[in-house]
Amino acid sequence: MVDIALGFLIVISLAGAVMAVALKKVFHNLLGFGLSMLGVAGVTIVLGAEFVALMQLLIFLGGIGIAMVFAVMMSTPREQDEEDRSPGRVLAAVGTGVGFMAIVGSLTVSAAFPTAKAVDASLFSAPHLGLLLLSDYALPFEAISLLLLAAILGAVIVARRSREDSELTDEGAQGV
Amino acid sequence: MSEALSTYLMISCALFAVGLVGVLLRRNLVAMLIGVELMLNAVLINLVAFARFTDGQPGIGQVFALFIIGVAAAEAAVGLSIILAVHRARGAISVDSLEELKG
Repeated sequence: MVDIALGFLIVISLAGAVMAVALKKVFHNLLGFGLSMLGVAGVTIVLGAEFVALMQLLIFLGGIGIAMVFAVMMSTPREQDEEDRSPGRVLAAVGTGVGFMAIVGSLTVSAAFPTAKAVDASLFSAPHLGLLLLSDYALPFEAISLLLLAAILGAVIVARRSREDSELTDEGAQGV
Repeated sequence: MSEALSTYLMISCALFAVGLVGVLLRRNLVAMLIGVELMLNAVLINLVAFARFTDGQPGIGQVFALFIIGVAAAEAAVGLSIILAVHRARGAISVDSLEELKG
């Protein structure tokens, strides 16, 4: 039963990922990305990490996905430029991906990882994770908070300054 | 199948490879960012799978997965604002329009 569900989730996440990469329209890519995120969250739930799965869904699909939709809507290109899909480029990119998968996949299959005894599911619960975050991992937790603050401030500054300077930049670009 | 670590490692490997192809193949900045997010998700699956199947303090892998999610959010915020800035300055979000530093 779990195996069937897992197989379904694998198909969803990989098909969504291929859609997110192969389709030509960026909005279709975003739809594939959302599908892939649903699949990955399902795989995470099968692994017994419900809290991580829900956070992953909330942030990747609800946060990043929506922000990307806004970015696509606000940055419709003035002229629809065709992407270079010459066979050479496609072959080079796909070849790199297949090569990566062959090397890492074969190493993964042949490696012997230390396997665990059965893990108590209550140790994966949200309260346990919260205790870990606020005791042993309090410093990384605060560092991530600082990183997020800096990233959000930086995002606001980058997006804003370009609006004020855009006329100036346009003139500069035309002058060159 | 669902009780073997290698299943999850292979899912993660395939997802990372697809994301890598996306970054290499696409010229659109948003599509490249999607590829990076797919690779981060592959890492996330890896961390949770190792936390579930190998020895060590349980839960640490999930804590690190949460950190990955936080870093991905920061990266997407900065990346999207840079994309908007590029669009305002250039009117296009293809990397082909950004070649001043090309040797």
